[in-house]
Order: sequence, then structure tokens, then C-alpha cells
Amino acid sequence: MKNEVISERQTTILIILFLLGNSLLIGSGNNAKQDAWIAIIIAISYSIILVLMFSKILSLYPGKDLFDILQIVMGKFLGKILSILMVWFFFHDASLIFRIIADFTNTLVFPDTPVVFPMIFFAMLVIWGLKAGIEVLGRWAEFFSWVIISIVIIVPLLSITQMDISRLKPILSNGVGPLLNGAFSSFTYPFGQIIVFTMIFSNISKVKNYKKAFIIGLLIGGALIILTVLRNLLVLGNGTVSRLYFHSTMAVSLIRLGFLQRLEMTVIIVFLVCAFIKVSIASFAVCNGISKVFGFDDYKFIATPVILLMLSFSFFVTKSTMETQFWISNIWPYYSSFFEVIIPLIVFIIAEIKNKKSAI
Amino acid sequence: MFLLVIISYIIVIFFETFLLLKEKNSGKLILYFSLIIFSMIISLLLALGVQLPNPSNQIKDIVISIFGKSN
Repeated sequence: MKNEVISERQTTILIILFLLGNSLLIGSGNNAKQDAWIAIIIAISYSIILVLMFSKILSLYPGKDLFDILQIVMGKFLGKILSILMVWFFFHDASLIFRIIADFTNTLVFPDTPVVFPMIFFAMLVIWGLKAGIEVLGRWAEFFSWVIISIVIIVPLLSITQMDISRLKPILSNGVGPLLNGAFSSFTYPFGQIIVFTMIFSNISKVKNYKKAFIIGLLIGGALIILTVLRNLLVLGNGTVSRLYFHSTMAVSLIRLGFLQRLEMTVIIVFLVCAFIKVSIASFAVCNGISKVFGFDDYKFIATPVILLMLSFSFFVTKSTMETQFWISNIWPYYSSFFEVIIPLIVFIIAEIKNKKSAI
Repeated sequence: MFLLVIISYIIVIFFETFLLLKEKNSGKLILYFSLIIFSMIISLLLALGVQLPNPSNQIKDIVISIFGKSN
């Protein structure tokens, strides 16, 4: 298990595709209405600080991931309790993404099929991907990344004829409050979730400098999200965006240029690839955490029960699409900033103090 | 539906147990079995339509009580 190697470029690509996750579909920073793009820019600038903190923690303890660092820094008992909390957090997160995939498939892709069947196949693919290991995931992501990134750049360009810049126009008309609210919500989801990468990097032996991979991945992923959110706002306008749940599908369905019609398939492909990577990486962190808490060396054997449990959990984690949206806009920022900001901050402070003490 | 869930779980358990028995590590077997039986129970309850308690509601209550109902 310790011999899995992914290159630095594959790490950056995994980070980009993870960030693209489901923000391409449902947008990010929706509380800020038509200033969502400004909110995302603010969120990216704060995330850079957060990411620098993560890479500093990782570089203080080379070759170990967050679960090991928690046990070293906080002592075995408290470290194990915090590890269990982080495992629960990412389990919940992955179940939410499963739920979004299920809702999307049920609403737009296969409306007449009971939603269990596509989800079971998806779960089997995730189990297979986990047992194959992160090396295979990295290579697969690298292979698909060109397709995904070119789709995400080209398709908005095709809808330039429908863009109307006056839809952005009353800039900051809602005041700074919703803007900051949107920035906070965008900061924790998707950008704060980069902490999941600190939990899986112990197996990756080729990357010397995590800082570069994190920051480049963050900037490119953030730029692609801004591009998509801007496209949605310019094409659909504020009112429609705040009423719809899956914005990109509606925006792409309006493209009609000669023979280029019905391009929603591109949205579906991009979303499925990115959501698969997001679920795989979050599940990887969960399996890694569970095996480290119980003192095992191997994470692969536990993949099947964890993912089946996640699948069952995703059916009752929220009761409807509306509840998922309420959850993500209102409760998720506060709930996740505890796990993504406060716990790493405590670990960072204690690790720095220990480092200074041992240097003296 | 109920039978389908049980049968598919038993098939999965058989496959995986063969792989795990070769390693002779009883700790892994115990962890694996406890997790998969827990998962099987929850799937069966879901297939029967039982309303399972949802941790998100507790989390929602905690967050709303700390931060007030905004938005």
C-alpha cells in the first residue's frame, strides 16, 4: 500500500476535478444572487491562506497524513476522537454528494427508473475504484482531465450570443451582507474541502512540494468555477438562477447554433466524472481514517462496507432536493467550518509550538 | 426486494471473506464483519420502509441554536 505513486501533475488534476465537483452543476455562493462571482473571488483568496496552512502542517510531518498528525500532536486518545469526527464529516459529505447525484439522475437523466439502480451501479464503480487504489484513480483522472477541462472552457464560449451583461448590472445592489454570506458559503463548499487531500497524501511518495500542487489546483479550479457561474448568471439572469436547482443544464440547453443543439450531454458527462472523483476521494479519506483509527495498515478491505453504508445513508440523509439545497446554503457553512478551519488551526498552532520547542 | 437485498449482501460477503481469510488477520475480519452487518441491517430497514433517525436533524438543531435562524 505504501508504494502507490502518483505524479505531481496528477495530484493537481485530482484537486481541480475535486473542486469542480458539483459546483459546476448547482453553482457556488448562491446566497449572493448576482454577485456570486465576486463572492467566489473573495472565497478563493481566503482559501489560499487556508491551503498554505495545510501545506505547512503537511511539511512539518513529512510522509504522514492528517490522522497520524492528529495522534502525534494531540495524543492518542484525543487524536483518535478527532479522527473519528473527521471520518464522520467526510462520510456525511460523500453521502450528500451521492444524494445530489441521485437527485440529478432521477430528475434529469432517467426520470422513470427507480433511483436505486443507477446508484447501485455508481456505488459498485466507486468500490472498484477504491480497491484499485489511488494510482489508478490518478491515471484515470489525468486521462479524462483534458476532455473535462476543454468542455468546461468551450461550452460557455458557445453561449456568448445569449449573454447579456446587463443581467449582472445592479452590482452589489443587495448590499454587502449577502455578498459576505455567499463568500462564506463558497469558502466552505467547495474550497475548504481541500482538507480531504491532507488525509490521503501519505501514500504519495513522488510529490515533494505540496504547496505548488495545492495552489495551482485551487486557482485553476476556482477560475473554472467562476467561468461557469458567470456563464450561468449572464445567460439565465438572477431570478432564474435563484429558482432553479440545476443551473448549468438549463443554461446549456439554450445553446442553439446550427447543428450544435441539445448539448446537455456535456454537462452530464462533466458532472458524472467530477462527482465520481469527489466521492472516490472522500471515500478514500473515510476508509483511510477508519483503518488508521483501528490501527490497520490497509484501507482497501474496508471499502465495500463503507460505501454500501454510504449508499444506504444517502437515501435518508435528506428527505428532498429542497432540503438538500437548504442544508447546503444555510447550515453547511457553519457546520463544516468547524471541521475545515478550526481543527486544522488547532493542529497548526500546536504543531508550530512543538516545532519551535524542539528547535530551541 | 427484501430478499434481493439479503441475497446480494450474502454474495458480497462470500466473495470478500475468501479474500480476507487468506490473510489470517482476525482484527480485519472482525472489523469487516461488524461494519458489513451494520450496513446490511440499515439496508434491510430501508428496504422495509422504516423511518430511520436522521443525524442531519440533530446537526441542524445544534447549528440553529448556536447561530440563530438566519436566512
